[in-house]
Amino acid sequence: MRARVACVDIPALPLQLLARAHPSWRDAPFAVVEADEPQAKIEWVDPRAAALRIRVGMRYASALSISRDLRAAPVSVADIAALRAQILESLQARTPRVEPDAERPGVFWLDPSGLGPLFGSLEKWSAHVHGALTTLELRGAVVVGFARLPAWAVARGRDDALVLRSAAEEAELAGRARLVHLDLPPELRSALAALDVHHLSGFLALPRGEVGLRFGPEASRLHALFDDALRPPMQPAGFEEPIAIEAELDPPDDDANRLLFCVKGALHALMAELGARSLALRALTLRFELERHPDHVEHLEPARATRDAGSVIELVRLRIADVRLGARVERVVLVAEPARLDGRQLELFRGRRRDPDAAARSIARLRAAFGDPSVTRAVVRDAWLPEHRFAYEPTTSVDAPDPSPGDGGALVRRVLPRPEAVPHGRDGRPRTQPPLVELTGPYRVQGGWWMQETLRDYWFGERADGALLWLYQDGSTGGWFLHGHVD
Amino acid sequence: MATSIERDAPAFAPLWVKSNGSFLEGASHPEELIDRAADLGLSTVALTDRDSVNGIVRAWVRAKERGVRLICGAQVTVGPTPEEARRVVVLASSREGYGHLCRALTLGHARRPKGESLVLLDELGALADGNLALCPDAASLRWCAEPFGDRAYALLARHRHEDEVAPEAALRVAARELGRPLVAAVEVLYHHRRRRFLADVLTCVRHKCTLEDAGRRLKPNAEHALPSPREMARRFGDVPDAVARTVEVAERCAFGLAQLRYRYPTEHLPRGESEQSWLRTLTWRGARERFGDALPDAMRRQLERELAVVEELEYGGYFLTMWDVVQFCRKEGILCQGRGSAANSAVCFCLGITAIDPVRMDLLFERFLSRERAEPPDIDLDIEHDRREEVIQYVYGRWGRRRAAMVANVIRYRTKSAVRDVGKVLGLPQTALDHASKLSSGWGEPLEEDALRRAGLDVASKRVRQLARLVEDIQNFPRHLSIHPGGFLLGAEPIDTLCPVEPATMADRTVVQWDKQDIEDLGLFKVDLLGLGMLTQIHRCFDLLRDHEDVDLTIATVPAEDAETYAMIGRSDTVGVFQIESRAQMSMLPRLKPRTFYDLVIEVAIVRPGPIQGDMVHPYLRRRDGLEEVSYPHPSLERILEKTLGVPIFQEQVMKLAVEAAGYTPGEADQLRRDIAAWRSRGRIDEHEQKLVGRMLERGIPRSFAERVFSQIRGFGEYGFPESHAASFALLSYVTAWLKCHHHDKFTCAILNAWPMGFYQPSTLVEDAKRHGVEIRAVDVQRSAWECTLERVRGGPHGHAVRMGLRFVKGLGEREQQRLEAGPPPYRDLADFARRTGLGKRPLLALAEAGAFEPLGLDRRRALWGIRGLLAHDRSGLDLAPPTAPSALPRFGELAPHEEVSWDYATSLHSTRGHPMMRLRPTLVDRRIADAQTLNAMPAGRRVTYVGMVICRQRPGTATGVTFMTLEDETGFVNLVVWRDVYERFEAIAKTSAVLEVTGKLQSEHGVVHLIAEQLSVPRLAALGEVPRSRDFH
Repeated sequence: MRARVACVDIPALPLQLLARAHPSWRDAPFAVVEADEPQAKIEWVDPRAAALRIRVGMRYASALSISRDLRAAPVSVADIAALRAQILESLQARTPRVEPDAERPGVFWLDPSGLGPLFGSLEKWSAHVHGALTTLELRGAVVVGFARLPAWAVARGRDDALVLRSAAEEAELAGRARLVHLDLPPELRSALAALDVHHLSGFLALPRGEVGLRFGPEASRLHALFDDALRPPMQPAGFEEPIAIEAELDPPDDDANRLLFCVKGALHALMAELGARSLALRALTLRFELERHPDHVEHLEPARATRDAGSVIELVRLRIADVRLGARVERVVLVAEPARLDGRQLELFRGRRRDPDAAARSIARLRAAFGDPSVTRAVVRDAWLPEHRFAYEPTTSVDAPDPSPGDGGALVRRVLPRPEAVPHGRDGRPRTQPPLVELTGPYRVQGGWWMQETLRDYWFGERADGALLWLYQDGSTGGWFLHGHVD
Repeated sequence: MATSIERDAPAFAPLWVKSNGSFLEGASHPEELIDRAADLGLSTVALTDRDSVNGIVRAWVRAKERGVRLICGAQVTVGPTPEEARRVVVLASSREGYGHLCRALTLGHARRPKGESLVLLDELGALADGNLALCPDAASLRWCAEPFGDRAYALLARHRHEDEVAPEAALRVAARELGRPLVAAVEVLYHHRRRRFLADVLTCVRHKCTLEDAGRRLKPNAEHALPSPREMARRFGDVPDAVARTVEVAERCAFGLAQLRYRYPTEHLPRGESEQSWLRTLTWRGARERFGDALPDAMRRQLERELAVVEELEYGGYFLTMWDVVQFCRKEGILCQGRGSAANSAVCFCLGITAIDPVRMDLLFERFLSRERAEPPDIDLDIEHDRREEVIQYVYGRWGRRRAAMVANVIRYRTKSAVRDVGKVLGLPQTALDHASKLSSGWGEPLEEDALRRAGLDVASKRVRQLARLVEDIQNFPRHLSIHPGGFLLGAEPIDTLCPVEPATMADRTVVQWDKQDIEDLGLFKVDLLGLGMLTQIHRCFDLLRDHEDVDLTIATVPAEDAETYAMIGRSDTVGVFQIESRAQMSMLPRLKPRTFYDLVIEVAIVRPGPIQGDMVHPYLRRRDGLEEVSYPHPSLERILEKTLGVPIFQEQVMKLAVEAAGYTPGEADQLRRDIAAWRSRGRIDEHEQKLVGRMLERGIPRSFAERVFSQIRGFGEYGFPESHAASFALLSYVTAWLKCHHHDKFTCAILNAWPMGFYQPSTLVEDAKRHGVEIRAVDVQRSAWECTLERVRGGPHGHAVRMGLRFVKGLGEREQQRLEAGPPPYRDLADFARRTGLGKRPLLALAEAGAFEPLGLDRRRALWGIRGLLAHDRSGLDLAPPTAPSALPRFGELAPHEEVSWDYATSLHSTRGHPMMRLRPTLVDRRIADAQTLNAMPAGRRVTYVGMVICRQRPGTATGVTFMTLEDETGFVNLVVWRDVYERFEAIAKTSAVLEVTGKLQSEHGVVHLIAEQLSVPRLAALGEVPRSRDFH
């Protein structure tokens, strides 16, 4: 008996994705554009836009001149990949063998073997699969057939689940499919249309050798696939099985040392598993399942991917030392995010005066102990307002300083974290202790008008004790502030 | 305000001032800077745009009005390399110095990409002669100290920023060492500090970034406004001498633009001849050629009068130049014709610049040049469009690259472009901005809140409010320099001593930094060499007549005042006829019924915004039909309005009305003329309303007439049309109409070969020819040449059929033309054709789809199959070619007749086999839907439904939102009028549908039938296949 294959066809996937993301657009014509630019080309149009004669390939700007109500946005490759992953996951719950089509983003091949008896019939199973699409707010068809592309040709234009009874029925229905619906390469499609070949049956009636000669090997391959002369084997997507280890605590316990001991044992097993797969640990998720309480989760990242259980257990120790769990732990689950090792270990043999790896390990420990934002470094920003000319950002490493030539001669200005208000006298001048003996300025900084306008007159003030202050008078309030000291 | 003049403030002259002529940097118009300077009591201002003198003429014109002295200069980029370049402010102290500045900038631009300049250090010596240098940093002061000597200054520029402190200290050290004095300045970027926002936006546009990302590319504060003397005193309190020295520097700058003495090139005169004597010789020689010994007295008197005026105004060189260019065209067989007020002079007629006899036409007399106005003469030379470049390069060659350059066209911000650029800088979504831009009016109209809202922008948000304000501010700001379509500036002295010359983007072209208005304001002469497709067509048609009918014609010898031609024009049978083929013109023709050449002149001029907005069209038509008495609003106006039945039609008449009826002085009239020319500067024409109308009322002229005259002036601002232009165009209209009337076959062949040009697609021209009995034959590889050709026919109304040329097959270009001509017919079979022409896959397939292989016994589908087989064989390298004989190829479904027509349109924009509507006719007959011919014969008032192919959509600004469409079927045209509400209701269909079903009411007047649309739809018919694109909203 001929093996079965099922095809899930979700037409116009980017358009469906956009409709999901913008529910308010559903009553207006909308389109997918290649980029957020007026001259971007339109890649997909919904039926409303199509009815207005907005066509794929038009520039968005031109389409707007047809309908001023047209809405449009780009859909990124990442967005499509994420949706495909979501669909795949959902389909994998209906059959273990699912293969996403490599060429058509909305097409998935499913192996229905053995599922008919399990669900009662293939009809029930296919309806179940179709229901999965509905749950995902997607429109499409499920066809259980005998050959891949013929089954897909049957699925095009349908919006339901269908089980074909015989290969002959499949061939007959597929032959009726219009070529414009089969995503043929545009040149092939128009060349066939010029020859009065508009349906799959007409295409398949042409001798494959002549087709290959005139329209190239791709046309010949498609001809063979649609004719069921080529039967590529099913290549199901692998399950992204998390590499996880569990450890039971019986009786449940909340002592940090004992918990650490328990994690340590599981971690060694986890590392062994990673080693067996030639992988290293990029990140570790610890899930503590508590007695009659919600789970508690901690996430840790070593300085870089590692198989060194000792350094990881040190990070775990630092993290759980301060954790208040609120209940006793029944089970600990360790989930590893794997990574391939990059051969950096070889560098261990090179002698260095500074050891950036050691710094990175220290930073990792600090981050483990106090959280990721706890270690930051200053970076220079291009702006006029002093507080916007630098920023602190989280870091995982220490970079060697790279001073520009001539930096050494400038005065160093130590900026206060927050400007401090300075009182002023009746003459409007700032009052300090000891008093200011000289003020130099003003130097005006005025900007940011497109958000919140700032106007400050900066002055350098010399105090009687010789200290140099960096002050400003706020343009809106007239108040004085100390913004820093000059060394 | 004038009240800002401050007592006891020190004397001060701003010396570093940049207008928006420093593109995307300066944030004020030159006029705003001058006005502000005058209000602040500043008597002298320098304008120093970045590497240019872009804004200087506009500043000079305003400075004259406000009594401010303008110093000419530029901020020059100087350095050994672009990376080490510094800025130096160079001020012209003499005419020679100004010339050297322009020359240096010309060299500077020539070595850098568009929009940049670099003057090298070894060029400073030449630049220093007659100029002062103000150096804002130590390095540039050291470079300039020696070449400029005591004319180099250290420029202390303060903007209240601490980053300036150290460089200023270094500059002062250098100044002390070199013994150079200090002079104070602010780098002025705007006239008032409120323009700081716009300055920031311009900076971002220049750097292609948003305000968020701009960082320190923006100025740190708003201290770049034009300062008052008191402000300067405050800012430079520690160096008062530096402020005082600005006046000393200003006094050393003795040059003003008024000193530019322009001389026309005269080096090509024969020995012993002066400009004037040579012009006289040529004119009288030309008169003899035109009239023989029978020179009419009126012509002789006119010539004497004109030559006297030309001599007095020293314009002889200008006429000689035009004569020289025309001689070149004649020698090279390039058809050309002069146009413009001066072109319609008797002198130009005798010099062969025009073919219009102005005396016989009663065209101008004293109008073409006036001693009082002394304005530059105006001659545009229209040239066959595909040969214009030859003439342009001749001018460069004849006068030399340094004595000839093209005039600039400054691209300025309008609402649409402003919304896009400003919105992008503000970080608003670009797709929404484009949306808003499309919903906005293009020309200077404020940005409507509704447009923003409909584009999905939150009008209450701060950013969007900022957008609206900044879009208003940026209106009319220059964005970049482009090139005038054909304006040349020629000079006896090198042009680059008058104005910097930049290389144009187009190869072998150079462009000055001034636009047409600047040239006119300075009283310089411009020569316009414009491309005109219709001249190409006329030339080709004359050639066909000579080759096929042995008839030798020129524009001047086409039989005049031909009744048959006027009858054809009166029937609106004018598809392809120059100037009177548009929908609006065709609607006017049956009402005006031109019977003489002057009627045609009026016809050409009357369907224009001026007469329409002035509501002068209907009064003229009523008077012409005898339905209204010819009267004059004032007896003094009879002389001006007599020729046009008391109704002003032409721009010259309206200008004369301003003088005669409103008492405008020559100066005021000149200002009015300039304000009309600069209509896009909002409000300038409106300033005349009160003056003009008020003065007319004082003279007893009815208010209604006065107001209509003013409306007409405003309309001329949209598109001015003087009588002299109308006359030149009318001559070409008459010539093309005569050719169409008497030689439709040659006319069609010529216009198709000159295409693209004119108003209609080839399909319409072909269908029109077919309706007139001209046989049009399909493309055929055995018989077609590259261009359309004539084939003798026996019988029938015309002596020749038109064979379509292979150039109309889409996908064939110059390379294919060469290959086809290298392997000419006859061909044995498809393989023979492919081998001998060596054409590639796409052109072969295109020819097959167009049916060009049918004479080889191959229908289109078999030809396609055969070609693909041949191409595959070529790739295989095998010797044995696959068979291409018809009997050896499979049979595919035959094309139905309507499919053939559809394929024709898809492949060549026309069909010789039929009209796309023919296929629908049986269905339409069943539905009792009339064809165009039947519909046009129906009585007015009837409610009908019509289905036709849209060939043109127009929505003129003068029609208050009405859209005019022309629909076509196999029997003719239907004029459709779509009111705004109907259009909005069916907008998508109205804009996009190639075939429309219209239900509406017929309206008929003077034989002109319009269908007033009430409902539009896509016809409920089977698919039409390919139809041509319509000509929309041009």
